[in-house]
Amino acid sequence: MSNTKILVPLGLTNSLHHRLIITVRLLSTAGNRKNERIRQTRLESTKQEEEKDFRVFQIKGLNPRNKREQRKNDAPKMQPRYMNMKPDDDWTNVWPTASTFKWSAIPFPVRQGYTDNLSENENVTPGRYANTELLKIPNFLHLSPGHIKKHCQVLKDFCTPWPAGLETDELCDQHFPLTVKTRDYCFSSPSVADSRSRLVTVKLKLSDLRLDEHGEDKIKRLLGDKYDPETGEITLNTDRCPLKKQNYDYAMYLLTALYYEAKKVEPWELEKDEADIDKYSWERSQSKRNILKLVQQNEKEESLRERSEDDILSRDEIKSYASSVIELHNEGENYTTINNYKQSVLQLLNVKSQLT
Amino acid sequence: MDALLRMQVLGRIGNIIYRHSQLKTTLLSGRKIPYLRLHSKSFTEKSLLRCMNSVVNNDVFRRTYSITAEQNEHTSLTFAFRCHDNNPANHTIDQEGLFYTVPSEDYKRYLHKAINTEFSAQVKVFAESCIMIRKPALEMIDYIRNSDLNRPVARAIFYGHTGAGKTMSLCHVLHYCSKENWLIVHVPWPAKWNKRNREIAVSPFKEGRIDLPLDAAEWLLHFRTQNTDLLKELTCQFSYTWSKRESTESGTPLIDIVDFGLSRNKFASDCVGVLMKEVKKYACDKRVKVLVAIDGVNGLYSQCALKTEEKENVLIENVSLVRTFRKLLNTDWSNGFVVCTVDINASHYSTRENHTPRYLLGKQGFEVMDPFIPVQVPIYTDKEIYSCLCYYSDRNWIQHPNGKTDEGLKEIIFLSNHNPYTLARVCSSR
Repeated sequence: MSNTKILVPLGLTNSLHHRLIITVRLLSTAGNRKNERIRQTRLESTKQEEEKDFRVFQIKGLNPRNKREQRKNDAPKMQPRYMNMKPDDDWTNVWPTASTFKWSAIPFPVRQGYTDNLSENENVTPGRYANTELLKIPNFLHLSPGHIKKHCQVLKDFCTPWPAGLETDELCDQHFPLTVKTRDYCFSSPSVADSRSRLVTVKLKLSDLRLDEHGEDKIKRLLGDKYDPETGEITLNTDRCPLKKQNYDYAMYLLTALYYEAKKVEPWELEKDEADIDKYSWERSQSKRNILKLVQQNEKEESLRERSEDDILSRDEIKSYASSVIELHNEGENYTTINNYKQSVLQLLNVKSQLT
Repeated sequence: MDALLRMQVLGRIGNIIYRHSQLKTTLLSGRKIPYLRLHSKSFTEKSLLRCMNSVVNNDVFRRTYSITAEQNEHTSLTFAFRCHDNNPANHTIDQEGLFYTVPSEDYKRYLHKAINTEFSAQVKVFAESCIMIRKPALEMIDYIRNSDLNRPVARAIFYGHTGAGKTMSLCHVLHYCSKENWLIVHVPWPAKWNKRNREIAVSPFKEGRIDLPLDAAEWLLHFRTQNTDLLKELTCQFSYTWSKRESTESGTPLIDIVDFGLSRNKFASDCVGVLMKEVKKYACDKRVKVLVAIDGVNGLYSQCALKTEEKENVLIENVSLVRTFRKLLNTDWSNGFVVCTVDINASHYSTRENHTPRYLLGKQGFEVMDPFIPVQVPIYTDKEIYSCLCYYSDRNWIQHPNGKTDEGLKEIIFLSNHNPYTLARVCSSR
């Protein structure tokens, strides 16, 4: 069994332009009876249509309207506010607090929205009147300079003078390296509690901890993504406890633990390999061993006595070579670093060409 | 960019591409040697001749050629591009960009097996082998000339973009050293030993090593053709026992070891090892100067796709040929020079982002090669590219009259982006 919608052309009747939509439930068992029923319904509906009166077209304004109707429609409408606003009006009085967009109170033209083609608003971006797009977006019309000035005037009574010696941001950072950020939320509702107010953010520059090379490396590994290598800042967000105080205490505990862990040198740390260090160090590289071997081979042939390691390493060409290898690895390969490497190698091997 | 200017630029690029496609179709419809045939196995000298004959007899070609001759006088294809001094020892920077001819016997002896690139195809078609004199090769020759041979070997690496001419620069250096009577240890492309489905055998010398008998024999033959005279002179300094019945006494000429390796494939890889040991010894004794030239040296330090019969991966350190040639890169010998190239195509598929030496060599390769002299092979300068275009039109590689006009040349240069390999491809008919 299935329900189908059929379009039946009324070829049998005189009105050829009409079409009738009939919903018929098709029964697989009664195929012949179905057709007959359809024909009957068609005939009935055409009869009804012919019996109806012919509709008359009403021309507007041809007949005088009654008084009551006329008065209601012709009552003077209120002009939108922006028509009567003057340039020196106080904006803070027009828009005292945060509110959604009011089309009538804006003294400047605004348009927002999208039209697909010419059929929509003649392809012109919709204006302010009855524009839902403008209602959706947040506005900052309650935070104009005038508003801020007024807020500051009111708040001034509660302020104390700025402490001397903290004039610049650098001075602030120097004297107060630790920044603790907490949040308070106030609003009118049956409960003033807000779960977001428990969050505590602690920020600190890694350099202010004054760790040595090992400690810095270790604390970076312990911190993971909580350390930003670009700004050199540690950011700890704590939100695991229900209260602000508890979260603050936990952040301080974390910082302390991190600091002392970083200072510690565990026995297994001595097993650190070349591959475990993020920066290339020439001192422990194969490159250094190669050079020492090479120089000693050279020296052996020239003079029989062997030189000490430090003696070799203190030479200028070896030093420049070492710095160029470190540059090649830490800065990455580009034509400048490769050329520096080339120059230092040529100096080292004492090979010359007029073309370099 | 304002709209009008953008339209102009876009139109210009579109025009170039359209014109180029037109140029190509006309080039194709006329006559010419279809490029693809050069690479197919059925290609022979005979078919080339037949092709050339049909070209010359073709009316279209005749008309084209007669027009070209008139037009040529008005284009920039008129300056000299040949260097008549064919001895690489005499080349100086003044001859930069000129083509010198490698005599055909030299080519057959030293370079024939060395290169399997666009160049070898062109040598067949042009019936001569010409190499452009370029700065990197001259620089390298200078280093070889000025290096102190009593010191441990100096190593140098050519690096550059794909198709920039690293292999050709290496060939130039190779030709120079062979003319100076150096012993040449040339490894054309070690990366091919890492490819899967090669014939492998278990080494009779040491357990766990993998031999590549066919590749070793191929290399031995190449080594023999390059150094026939020197190998006849030099004799073995040690004696070797290959099996119960086969052995080599000290005092036999080295060429006998090569021949032994060629006839007894089983020991070919060991023969390579033995030869390298002898060569090193001779070099240290100042009896002979040795040039080690490895094209795509990073192939010795990349991953290996070989598998044993038990379908186990083979470590690249266990391939005997790779071991042998890695030893030549160490600084424990003197009186020689090592020139290598690093190539993206010699690396494993996963490490092909960059063409710089440290990246391609990897940590292991860099530690072995360090300190090396990196020499960059740049793409063509304007002078070089015009010289090359002159050469191509002289060899009728560019035949169509449009290809020889100033505008046509500019389009070819634009399409090739100054890259030597791309230039050869753009100028070819397909």
